[in-house]
Amino acid sequence: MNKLFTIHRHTAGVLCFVAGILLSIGACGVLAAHVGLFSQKRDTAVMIGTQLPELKTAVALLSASVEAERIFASQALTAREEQASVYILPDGSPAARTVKTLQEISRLLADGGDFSMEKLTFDAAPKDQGSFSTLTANAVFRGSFQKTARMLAILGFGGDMMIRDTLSTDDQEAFLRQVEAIAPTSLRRAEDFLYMDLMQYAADPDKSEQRMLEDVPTVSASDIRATLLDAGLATVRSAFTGIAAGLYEKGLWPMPLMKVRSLQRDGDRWIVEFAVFSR
Amino acid sequence: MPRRSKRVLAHVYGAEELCEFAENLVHGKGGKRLPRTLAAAELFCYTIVMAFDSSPQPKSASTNTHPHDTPVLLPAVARLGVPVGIFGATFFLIAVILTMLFSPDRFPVRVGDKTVRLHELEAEEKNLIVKKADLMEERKKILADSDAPVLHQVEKLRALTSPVGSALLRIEDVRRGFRINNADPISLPGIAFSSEMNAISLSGDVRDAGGRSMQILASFVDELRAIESFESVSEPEYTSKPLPDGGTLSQFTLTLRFRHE
Repeated sequence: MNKLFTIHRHTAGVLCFVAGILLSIGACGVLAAHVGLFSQKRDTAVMIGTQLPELKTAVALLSASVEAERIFASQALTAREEQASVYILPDGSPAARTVKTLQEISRLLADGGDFSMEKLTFDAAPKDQGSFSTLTANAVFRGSFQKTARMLAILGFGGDMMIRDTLSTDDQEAFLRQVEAIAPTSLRRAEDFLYMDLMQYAADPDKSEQRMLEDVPTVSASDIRATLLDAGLATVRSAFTGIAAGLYEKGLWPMPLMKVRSLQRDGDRWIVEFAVFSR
Repeated sequence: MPRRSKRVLAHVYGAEELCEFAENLVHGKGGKRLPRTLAAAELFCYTIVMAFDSSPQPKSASTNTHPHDTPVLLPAVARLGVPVGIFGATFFLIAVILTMLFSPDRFPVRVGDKTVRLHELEAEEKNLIVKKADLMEERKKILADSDAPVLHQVEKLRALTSPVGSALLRIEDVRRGFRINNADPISLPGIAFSSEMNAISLSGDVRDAGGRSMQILASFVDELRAIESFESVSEPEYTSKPLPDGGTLSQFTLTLRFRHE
């Protein structure tokens, strides 16, 4: 009996010993896992911390953009759609408006008399292209390289209505990001600027830019202005300087959508073939 | 040295030297006992034996039992069992409590110049992601609801046009940049564009009284390549013809290909 008790006591002691060792190993494992968890959480925090500013910027830009789109959709969309269907992509022949527009631009460009539109002819009928039609036109301009380049640059803005139409999506985003980084409170104004009428801007570009950047520090404002000019507004300025107001007054803006098909220089004569779009 | 231990050591290592070493450890060399090392040496030998030969040895009648044959390790382990068990349990409990108390979420993390708590960061990130998804959804809804088929068509058609005019303006700006004393060294009498080729072809010449017409042409080509509208500008043939006034004339033809939008 005594022996049996001794054996049981020994067995229990050995089991306690083994359990103690196993629990110690388990405790070490738990602590090691916890240290690993700390390290992992720290990495997660650093990762989130790095991504967070970018995410905040994206949300701020998106928020401003959605707000501007909502206002545009509720206030200006219908008017723009009407303008587009009457002037840019008309239902009937676009020839008459094209003649008026080109002659007025030539007149405004001539100013000193070194530019003129000598001839403008159209094909007999527009060519059906499915969802739209194209009317082929041939024009002969006489003038310097610079004046002709300006004339063709202005034709290139046919179909544009707002500043955002002249900038690529990437350029628009880069501009908004820059404004958000420098002066987040001006973001809304920057969005409004993109929805501004292009001819209104071209008539007085400095004033429009100044109004948009009035809360931005002067040094940063010139950086933002440089970004916009590089993105394409420099071309708007050089193409429309001195003629924007005239086009606006004569009701020739927005212009029909045109595409230059070919160009040939022959001395100071420029033979241009282009297509005018309609529905 | 217990006999059984000696036998098992010899069995394990198969070396009589080991037995002699153990004998010498226990009894001392030349039969002189070394009392200070006796107990330690006995335990050492027995431990080795137990470690390498745990199989029970059949007890033969002829084998003489010694008082030291009684197992030592198991009773020792059994005696240590309770303290080791209590230690293990306590250690484990403390580890678990520490894990619960010192959760990573309770400690602020330094990210850049800000100190924030991880759960706050995670919550902020989650909020922003949800907000972004909501805004995207809203934008989609605005676009879907906006009934402007002509505007959409104009947008599509506008993408088909090449910016010929603005590209010519840039070319003219570059050309005029080389003007010295109101004289243009570069003239471009041949300009052509074809929408099928999606390229502008320029032909002209560079005149320089200082004989550097080829250098001016190379700079002109470099500046044309900086215009973003063009995907590529061909390399012209660099030639130089002497002029009566001592200068040189370099005629060239270039093809400037537009980027595909």
